Amino acid sequence: MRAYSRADEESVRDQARVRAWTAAGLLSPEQGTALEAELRTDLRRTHVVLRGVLAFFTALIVAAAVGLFFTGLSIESRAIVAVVLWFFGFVSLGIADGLVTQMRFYRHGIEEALAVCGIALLTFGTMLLFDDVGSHVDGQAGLAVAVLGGIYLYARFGFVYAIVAALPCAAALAFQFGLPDSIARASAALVLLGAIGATRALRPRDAGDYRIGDYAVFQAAAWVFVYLLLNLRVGDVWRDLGLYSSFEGERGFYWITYVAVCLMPIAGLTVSIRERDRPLLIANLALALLTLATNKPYLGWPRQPWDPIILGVLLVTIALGVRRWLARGPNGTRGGFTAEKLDANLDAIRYLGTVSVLVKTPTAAPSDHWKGFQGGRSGGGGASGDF
Amino acid sequence: MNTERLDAWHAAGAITAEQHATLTAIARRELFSVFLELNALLYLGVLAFAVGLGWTIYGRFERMGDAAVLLLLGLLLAGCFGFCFSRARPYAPDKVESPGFAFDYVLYLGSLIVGVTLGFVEIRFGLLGPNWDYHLLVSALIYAALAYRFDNRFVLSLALSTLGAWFGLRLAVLQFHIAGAQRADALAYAAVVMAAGLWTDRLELKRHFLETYLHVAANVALAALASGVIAGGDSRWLWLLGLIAASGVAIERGVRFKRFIFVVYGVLYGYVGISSRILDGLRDLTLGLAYVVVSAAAVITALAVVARRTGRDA
Repeated sequence: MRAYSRADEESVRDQARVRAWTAAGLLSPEQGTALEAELRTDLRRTHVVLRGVLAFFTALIVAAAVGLFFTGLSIESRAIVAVVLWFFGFVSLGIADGLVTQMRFYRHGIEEALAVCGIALLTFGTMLLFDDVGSHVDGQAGLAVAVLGGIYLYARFGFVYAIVAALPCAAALAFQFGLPDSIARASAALVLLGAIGATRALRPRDAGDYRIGDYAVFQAAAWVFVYLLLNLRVGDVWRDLGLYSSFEGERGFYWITYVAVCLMPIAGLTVSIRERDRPLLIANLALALLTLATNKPYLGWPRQPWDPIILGVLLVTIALGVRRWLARGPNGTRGGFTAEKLDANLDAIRYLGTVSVLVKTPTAAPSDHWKGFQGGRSGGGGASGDF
Repeated sequence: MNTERLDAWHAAGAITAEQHATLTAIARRELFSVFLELNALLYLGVLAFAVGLGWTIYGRFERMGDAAVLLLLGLLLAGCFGFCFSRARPYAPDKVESPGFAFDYVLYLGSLIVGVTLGFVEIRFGLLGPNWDYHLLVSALIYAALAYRFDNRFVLSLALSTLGAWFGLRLAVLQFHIAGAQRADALAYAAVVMAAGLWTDRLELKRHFLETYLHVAANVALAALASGVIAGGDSRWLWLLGLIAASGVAIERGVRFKRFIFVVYGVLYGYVGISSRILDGLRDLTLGLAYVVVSAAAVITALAVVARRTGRDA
């Protein structure tokens, strides 16, 4: 089923690790070069930035080609349109497969966009075919195809993001039966918890297996989606983006979700620390922040301008406290955890430094026009009103 | 990584016994670094603190009183910069490693508080009168000096965004906005940023900062030119010529110095600008879609050729 051999997949991942270890100084540059050469495969790969651009333009071609076909032929029948979309979907998948099996493309952007567009076209075609059948059937059928398509893309090409995208599609199926919001949310959460259970049951037992990282991402993604389903106030964090939504369901369900939202990051952090699961650790740190950010809206308490100060002090205290606690352990480690750089991706910090130019910082407005802080022009030190 | 591979490398003498032990522990997750996660928490903590401080002071200064606010800000500034100046390593024009885990973030916090303080002083006392926005320029210069003294990329970015604000640009997440007369300001800003980056690079001052300057300058200049093309008007062809030239320079420099992100900037902004002109002239949907298919295929082919010529498989 898998288009790439196990040896190739392992070599690709090991190459990345050797590169990270060399960047972190755990290997000398000469060692890094020699070991990377040993891990070389015949797969055609490309730079990560170029991969994104190639994927973007390939998707553009597929979308325009399909559009071109339909503008050339004025087709009225939905069934025929659906069949044509399926045709394009299978062609797209077929070309992607050919690029992988014949030309040995690997995470090259082009074959990825073709495969993803293929599944998207099959999904739209299916939805269109069932459009007249009855309420919600088109959505159910389309989402089912999307879920199966995501599983296929991972099984065939190893696209981790395909499963990550399939997870919310699976959850969204629960909203296609006209159920009350609370029951639909609970059902969707159960579907995702089932996916977590399946992930944990199916994941490889050997710590050296290259797929273990993939399964860790699936588990973390499903956990995040469960949280986002259950946190009824998560939209309050991004009111400016128009994501705010009010919950009109039962008060009992509301408070159950509040308890869940408080407990989930704690449970997730506990598991991630016990299993040394980095995706789950990062996900639950983010969820813990979301819980803190949505706590007051949940309880109906007014927000105060100094709330971020308290949050900031808390985060800094935790970071410095953990760092000091780990550093004081034998050899700077405790239970296998260390605050030393080791193989940490230092490029991420460098990149964060550069993109910090986008952090909106506060400024003063002219005193005679001052009506309280309203965002104003960006730049300057301090903080903005809509951070 | 399968530890059998590490064992084989050790047996072949490719890695030392010490390296083998460390790498095996990492591969087996017996040694797990939380360095990045702790850095992320510190960064978010500092930002949240500065946000809250800004909100509290700007929103509540009438209740707190000017003296109390200035005393609070003064104490915070003294704490941050006292810490930084007492712990800092001596200045060097090359890269200087941070003396401690929290050092860079304390400096970043201090810099953000400088901005809050200058903003507050200007709001309350109007020292600069109608030229109030010059406090942004002063802030940017202070940040730049701090960034070079302490070798801090976060503070350098703050300097560049504050300088952009002085030029009248919005460089915030989801609010990158250039329109009308701002385009000329944006181009001037990009030119200043690029000149500053190249000048300090030539002087061999913190040469590792150059990429930050170039990222900001390239994005602002190309976005300004592309927006000029898309907006239309009598001067659209002039904007288009400028965009083609700037995109060409970005692509050529990116290829020459193997910085593919600049190739991507040139390709994306150039494609958007040129396509907007062409599609604007094509009234027929079929022709428009055909143009997208052909042009996108041409871009993919060109990128593949460029990547192959520079030694990257594509």
